[in-house]
Amino acid sequence: MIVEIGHFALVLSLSVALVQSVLPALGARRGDERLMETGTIAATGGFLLIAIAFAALMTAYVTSDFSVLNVFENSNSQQPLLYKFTSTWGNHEGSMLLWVLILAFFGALVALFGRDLPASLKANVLSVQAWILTSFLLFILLTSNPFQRLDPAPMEGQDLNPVLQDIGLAIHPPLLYLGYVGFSVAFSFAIAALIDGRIDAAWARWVRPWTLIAWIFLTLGIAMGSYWAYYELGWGGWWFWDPVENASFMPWLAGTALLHSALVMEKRSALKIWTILLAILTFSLSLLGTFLVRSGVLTSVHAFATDPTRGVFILCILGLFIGGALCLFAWRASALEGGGLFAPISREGALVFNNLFLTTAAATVLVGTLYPLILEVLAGKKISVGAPFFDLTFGPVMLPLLFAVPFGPLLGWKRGDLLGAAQRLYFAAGSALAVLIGVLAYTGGTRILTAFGFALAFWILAGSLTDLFLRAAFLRAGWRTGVSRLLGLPRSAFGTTLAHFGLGVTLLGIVSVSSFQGELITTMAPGQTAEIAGYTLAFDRIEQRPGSNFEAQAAAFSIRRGGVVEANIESSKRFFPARQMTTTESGIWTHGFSQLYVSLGDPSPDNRSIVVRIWWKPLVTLIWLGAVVMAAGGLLSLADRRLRVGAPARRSRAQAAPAGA
Amino acid sequence: MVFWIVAAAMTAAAILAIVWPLLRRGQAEVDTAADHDVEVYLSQLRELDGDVARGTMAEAEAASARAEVGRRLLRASEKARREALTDGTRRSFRRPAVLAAAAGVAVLLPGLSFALYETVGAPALPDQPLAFRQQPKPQDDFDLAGLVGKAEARLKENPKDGNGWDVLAPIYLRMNRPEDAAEAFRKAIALNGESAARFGGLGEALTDAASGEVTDAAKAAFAKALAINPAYLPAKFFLALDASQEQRAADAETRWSALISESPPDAPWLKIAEAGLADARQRLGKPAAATAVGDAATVGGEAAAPGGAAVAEGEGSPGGFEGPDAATVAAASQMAAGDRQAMIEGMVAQLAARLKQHPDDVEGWKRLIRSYTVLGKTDEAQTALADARKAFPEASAGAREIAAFAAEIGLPGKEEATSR
Repeated sequence: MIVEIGHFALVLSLSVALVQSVLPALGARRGDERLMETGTIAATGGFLLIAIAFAALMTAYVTSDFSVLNVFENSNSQQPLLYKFTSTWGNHEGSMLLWVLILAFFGALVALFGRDLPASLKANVLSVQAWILTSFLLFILLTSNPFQRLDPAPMEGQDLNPVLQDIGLAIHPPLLYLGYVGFSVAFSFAIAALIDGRIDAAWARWVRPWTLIAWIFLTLGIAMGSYWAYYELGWGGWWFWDPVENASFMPWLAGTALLHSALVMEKRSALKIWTILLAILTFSLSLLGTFLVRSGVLTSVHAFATDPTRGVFILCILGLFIGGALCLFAWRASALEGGGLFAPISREGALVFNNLFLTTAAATVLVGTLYPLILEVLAGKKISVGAPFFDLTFGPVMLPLLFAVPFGPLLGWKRGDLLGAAQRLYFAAGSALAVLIGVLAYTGGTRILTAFGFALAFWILAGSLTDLFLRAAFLRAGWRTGVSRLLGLPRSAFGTTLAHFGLGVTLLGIVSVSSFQGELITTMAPGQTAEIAGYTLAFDRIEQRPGSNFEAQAAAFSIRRGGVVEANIESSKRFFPARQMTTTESGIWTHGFSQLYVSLGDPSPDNRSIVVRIWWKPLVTLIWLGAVVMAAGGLLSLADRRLRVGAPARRSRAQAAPAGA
Repeated sequence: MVFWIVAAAMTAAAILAIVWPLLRRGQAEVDTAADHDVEVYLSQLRELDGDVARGTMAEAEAASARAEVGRRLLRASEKARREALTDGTRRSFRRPAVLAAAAGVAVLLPGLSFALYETVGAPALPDQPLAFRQQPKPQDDFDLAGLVGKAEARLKENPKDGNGWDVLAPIYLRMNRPEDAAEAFRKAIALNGESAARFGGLGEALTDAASGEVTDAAKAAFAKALAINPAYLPAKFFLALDASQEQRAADAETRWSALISESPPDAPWLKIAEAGLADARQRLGKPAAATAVGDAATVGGEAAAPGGAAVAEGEGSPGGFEGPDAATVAAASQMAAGDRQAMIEGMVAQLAARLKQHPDDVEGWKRLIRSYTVLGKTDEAQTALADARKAFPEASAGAREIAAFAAEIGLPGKEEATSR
């Protein structure tokens, strides 16, 4: 009965979403408070209903209720309890349910925390959210119903895809979806502004925190996915320019641009129309990402849904929302009031620069991702666009942007002093130069690009700290006053510094791994040793070991330096008989920020030795730590108390009325 | 019943909550958008002052910012004043219109929800969690996993215990762990010697592991079982099943009819055997009503063939008598006849459900139609055929294949009549 209650709750939520699509928007049009009020209730109630549905599905998974087709197909009663939970979203139907749950969750947040918003803006936003919700609920109920039943229930389920039985991947989709779907709020705000024909002052203050929330989750989700691919796929790479990765990277790039343009809009109420367009584009790219992953047009680990009817359905949703939003934009944007003016060299100018390059970068990734698909459709040829393309296109676009990062926060609003900013960056420039010379000396002058890469990373690291240092005025005001001024700085200033610093950290990791990585692929038998980056890797033994629902072939290695054992690691391959699949479990030893990475290949024909792939990855963890630092910066900026806007006090209204009378 | 009460309660709650504000008589005052703008600009001014006080913003910079915010503030408050003047003329909806909207919600919410749920839901179907499904057979399954675990632990200590493997093997088979079962049967054969039952079990486990397809290795095992005990009926059953799967109709006919004539009248496999026989006859173009033991004379001629592992007519044998039926038969051969029939039908229903979701699976449709014919459910087979035709666009490869298949198994294409 629980299952069917969940099913009914999902159907009911569709009806509620339909009501929410119509009534609040109507109310906003006529200024009718009663109709607008229904939006708040419907959004909250709809979220509760979808939460009931999700809980029901989760219950079915945890109790191994194989009378639910989805549970039967994607889990197994022998699974560890944790993966029974995570199986709920480890499949197409369940993950779509999670998608709408998060969408409804954001809708409910707007409904509950939006008391400060102008009523008509809030009502319109909630209605736009409901349009998205309705289309995806229809998609679920008509093409991907997770509550499809099976009677009588089979004794045993068909297991979860073993690649997905991993804690990293269990957390990855919810984070990513929180990011994707979070951008729907900015999108709804943009559409609401276009419908209303006006951009409220509160609009900008609201869009930035919502974008920030989505951006934080997306950053963490991408980093998590990247780390998962790194340790689970056993190829030693951390980014593959795989279409699925690009699908999440494009909204991130556009979202980062949106974040910065929302900043200009909030502070200076300039770039309003551009921000609206960016909000539309960012969510469109999120939808595109959902389409790419969920329709099965790509064939990769993520695309486990392969069914054209679903693809066509999502494509229709995609066309409807992106096409509709852009048409609305073309029609209404001219009616909106433009913003303030600013000189080209100014904080605003720097943020426009940032926006131009980020959107160009997103466009580059878009081309690289869609071109093979379009070519396959039109010419029937299958090509893959990989790292060489992106190195040549994405890299050059990002370079000037990265170089400009430290300048932005140092330029004044409205009109800035580029020379002054450059002068204030002397410390950062000096440290970058020192690093440049240091690396050149270390490599004997042969690795010029590498040296510039390191210099750029240190330029950003030092440059991002410069802003805080100068604002606290340590040099002018002395140590004591400096600290107290530093503490008095608004949190968003720390957020900016931290996020830019994180970018530098990630860049440092990337440069370091791509220039100093050591790689060794060799055949080893137990007892043999291999040398890499000054370490000796000894292959101690290999054994067969049964696991809960797999059979593992585990190889033990010890890492020595100068005869002393530094660490023992184990690298294994798991064979899952239920799916006839093999997964690799890499052996990773983390030393400082660097890692030694060992993964097993195929055994030799006589079964005495095995192919072993060994990598020395200097500073590799910085790539993901940098992303975490960026997210932390976002969180700090989000916690800035100044983001809260008070609702108009009754008093001010009462004063306004007699004044007019 | 409880389900309907809960569903009705949820619906009623949703309606009430949404309709509540609509029933209100007057309108609460709404702040205009301009009021909000004023408030936002005021708070921006306060922030500017804070920045200056903290020393994070130069006074000159703050002054120009203050001037700008001030300009906007003036504009917004002017607008707010004008809006306040025209407040009375706001065209909010009249009460009847709002009440009509409330009525609309009260009708639409339950109407739409129950109508849609009626088509996609299964209200009568109870939950069947694992714990619940195991309850009806407390005696058999009482801590089966625990017992197996103990037996496994014992065998780990003493892997030469042939009797242990003998006991464990059929349990594995029944627990749907066919790979383990096959291994256990092999060990039992190695330790306790060859027997028809052990080889038969091995063959069954291998068949099960291959999702119901009688593989060459399984065939070899069944042949050995028959070599030890020529009257071992389960092995004959699977060899006949194999003939059906590989569409050797003549062979299948002889094997099924021989099996039927040798089986006791209450043998659990009789129904399937008869269906298989009918299927084989239909394929040969013979009337299904022909005597069951008709051409037993040919048995001798071909009986030796399936025993040899050399007979390989393609592993896949698509479209044959395979899939859910065979898998079920293999898994359930220790079950009572009634249980087994239910299970077979359950598996077929499962295939049908899957096809409803993923209708672009030609092989699946063929298997479903074949299964229905074999079970003697001609009407369902007809419906499935009609559905299959609907699933593929006309003149597509899939449609042609389905049509060819229908002709092959002799199912007339009266889909227009039955499905609409």
